Amino acid sequence: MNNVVDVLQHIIPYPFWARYIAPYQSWFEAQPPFIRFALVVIVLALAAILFMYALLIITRLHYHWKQHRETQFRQKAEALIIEHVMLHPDIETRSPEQITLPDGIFRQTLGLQRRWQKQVLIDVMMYYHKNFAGKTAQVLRRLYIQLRLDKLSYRKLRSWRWNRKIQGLHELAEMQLQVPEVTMLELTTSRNRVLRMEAQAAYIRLSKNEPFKFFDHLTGRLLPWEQLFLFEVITHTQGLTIPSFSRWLHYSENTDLKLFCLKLIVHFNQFNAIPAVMKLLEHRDAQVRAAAIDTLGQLEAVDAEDQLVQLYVDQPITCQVAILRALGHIRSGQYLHFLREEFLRSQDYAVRKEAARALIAHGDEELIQSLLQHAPEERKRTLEHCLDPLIKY
Amino acid sequence: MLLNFTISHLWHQLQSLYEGFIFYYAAAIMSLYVILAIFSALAIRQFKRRNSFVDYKSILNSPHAPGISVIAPAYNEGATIIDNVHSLLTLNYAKFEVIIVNDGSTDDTLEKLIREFELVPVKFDYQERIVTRPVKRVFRSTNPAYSKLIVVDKENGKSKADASNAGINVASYPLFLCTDVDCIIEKNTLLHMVKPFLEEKIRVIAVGATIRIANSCEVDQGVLLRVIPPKKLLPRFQELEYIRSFLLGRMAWSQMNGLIIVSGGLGLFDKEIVINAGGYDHTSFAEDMEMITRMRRYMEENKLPYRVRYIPNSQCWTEGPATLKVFSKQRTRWARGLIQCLHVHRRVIGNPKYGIMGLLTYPYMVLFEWMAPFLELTGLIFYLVSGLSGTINWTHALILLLYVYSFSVAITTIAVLWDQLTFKYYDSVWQVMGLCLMAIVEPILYHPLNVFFSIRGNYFYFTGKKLAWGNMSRQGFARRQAAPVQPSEASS
Repeated sequence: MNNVVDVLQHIIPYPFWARYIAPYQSWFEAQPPFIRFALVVIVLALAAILFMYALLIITRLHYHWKQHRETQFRQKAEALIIEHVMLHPDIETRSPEQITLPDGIFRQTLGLQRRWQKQVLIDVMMYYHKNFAGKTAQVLRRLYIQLRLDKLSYRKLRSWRWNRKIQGLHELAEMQLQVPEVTMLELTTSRNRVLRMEAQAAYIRLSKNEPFKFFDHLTGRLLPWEQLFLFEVITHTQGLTIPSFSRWLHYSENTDLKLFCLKLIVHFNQFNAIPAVMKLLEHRDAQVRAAAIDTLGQLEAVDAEDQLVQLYVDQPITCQVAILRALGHIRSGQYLHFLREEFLRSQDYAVRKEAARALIAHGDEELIQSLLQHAPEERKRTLEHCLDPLIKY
Repeated sequence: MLLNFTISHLWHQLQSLYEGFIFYYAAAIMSLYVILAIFSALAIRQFKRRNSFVDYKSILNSPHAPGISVIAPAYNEGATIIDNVHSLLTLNYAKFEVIIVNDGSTDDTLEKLIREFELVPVKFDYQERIVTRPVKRVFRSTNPAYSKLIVVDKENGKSKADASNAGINVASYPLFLCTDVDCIIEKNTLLHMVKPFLEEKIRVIAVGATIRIANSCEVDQGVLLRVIPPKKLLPRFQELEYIRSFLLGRMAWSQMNGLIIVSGGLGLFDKEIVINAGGYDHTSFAEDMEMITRMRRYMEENKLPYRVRYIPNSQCWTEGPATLKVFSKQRTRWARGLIQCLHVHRRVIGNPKYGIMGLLTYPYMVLFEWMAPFLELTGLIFYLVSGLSGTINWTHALILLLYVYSFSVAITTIAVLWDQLTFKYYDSVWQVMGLCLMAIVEPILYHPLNVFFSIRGNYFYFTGKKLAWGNMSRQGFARRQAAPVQPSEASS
């Protein structure tokens, strides 16, 4: 405890110590150790409380002041963009390269000396670029370069901080500016999940030659969240050359990538991928098998029906349910008897329900009526559940 | 003479032993709070940084996002049920259903629902995977605008747990969100809460989020218009307590994967694990903590890796008890639930088989959550006896009181600071400062109440006195006719 006193004596200015603390020093030293400990805790806690109150007030006031400053700047920037870009007299008649942009007025009016000013302008320009297509977007892109805002984005990309890198990637991808593919490819395998995801999205958007090249190097997990994000990017990027995703079903050892490619195969209706998907029916992982079965069902692969039914007996429940669902999608009518048997035989509710759905999907009214009349009460209830148009699942 | 001397000597011995124990106990609890505050700060910082680039549009639009069943039990909620269901139906998510379980209401809850949402009974094949009181009918709407709505009408089970279990049995999706029908849920709650399920390498079995007190907030038709700290004293203290407990406590436990409470007001769960663990226990008074414990036990006993996660965003606003009578009922029930849960799962305490829950969380719950009120009571008695017998050193006594008090105020202020630095739900700095100042009187006015009701809950448990679940009488929210503003927008 004496050490604490020594330390405090060094920190606190001597006049203050001599006047306010020294008179109590001998009293403090005479106290038992636990009281001295308590006194130190009290002083520290009170100091912390006062510090936190001050911090709260200062940060909140600073936040409001910053908000106010940025709102004002944003309004000015928006007014300039509307006047000199959106309402440019030549925007309808000339090509974007021929339009003269008054970047001097932007510099003069907005200053653009400070980093925050540049950042707010970047945000505003990104917003307009996202919401406008065609010539306006191209003119905005030119203005972005003329104001040298791209330099700031490139600098962010070279930063050692991952969140700055992401910010840079975001800006360059949104403004459709060139980023060396090597740089992006390196980031697509980053250990930082957020950075990896953003780099993969940017690679798909910006790569001129092979936007899916990073799939070849994907060795780690592609988590469901990353899959959702990439799916959104792939399905909403205009002008993207879509490859045959069956390629990665053949060559990649990555289970997550296989699952992701199966989703893309369904989305882009890649019927030529059916043979590759059928090969996955022998995959060791039940999750991959179930996904492959679902894919075959959604592609209505009639050729796969026989194999699916042959496989049925040896599969776990998830795959059995997937097979029944696939048969319901394919609806060839070849396996109505099999579906009926499964519906009447299975003790598992999920299997029974999926068999009932598949039977209904075939549209054989006579069979359904017969089952409603003769099936045991428990099975009848399941069938009625599936027949009710108000019940979705 | 000798006898007197011996008694006096013994009393002094006992006194110094007790003083020493209490001092070290207080030091231990304070150190733990400091550790929790550090863990929580790290977790919130990490959360904020990782989520600053998230575009939730990818889940919102994706056909591959996991489906979520929103389960909200309702018992005699006729006054507010229509607004609340409308509010639940407008949640932002691609694939979800809303299951309202009418738990044998004696008012017009069901009739109002049928009329407003054009409900008709359907031939629903009810599978009782968790045993509940009988389900009478299941309703769906004939209006496509309400196609996401399912209403289950069941016999009263005298507990929220039984109604929730019936909802789980009806749920069609792999995840379910358990909430109270009168909670105001933020529009993007499902998007925010599903994320941990999708981004972890290890299976996430439950996710919780921060709940706040809505008593003085402006609400219109089940939609939160403006976040205002409670004006009345009791709800204001509860707001402070919620911020501290959710942001400091639960966030830190989540970081250590030791979280055992996901509030009944708002929790997203893996349905398969919940069913395998047996669903909610309808006999429990702390069914939320009890179920997480059982889910964790199931995972540990089957040697399955798992996580229980918590997100610091405030996703749900609920009306806290505004009168002492209602508050006493709630806190007595919570205290009784805690001891009940600790007793039922006593084998977990200190058992390495249950990992961090057995070695850290449960011992913490016993030592610092359950035991603390008793020690405070003995402390008070000790003070009185020492004071009366003239053996008290008043200077030391006051220093020790100030020691505990100043630390308590500092910890609460840290929690408010964290909340305000990261999320800024309140408009003005003065609202925040007003809340901070409450931390100064909280240990004097509010804490003794909690201690009293905790002891009362334990007394009820040990004497086997009956305690009904009952319905919390509500006072309603301030209403304002204006364009809805989401809390996230309000905060930005």
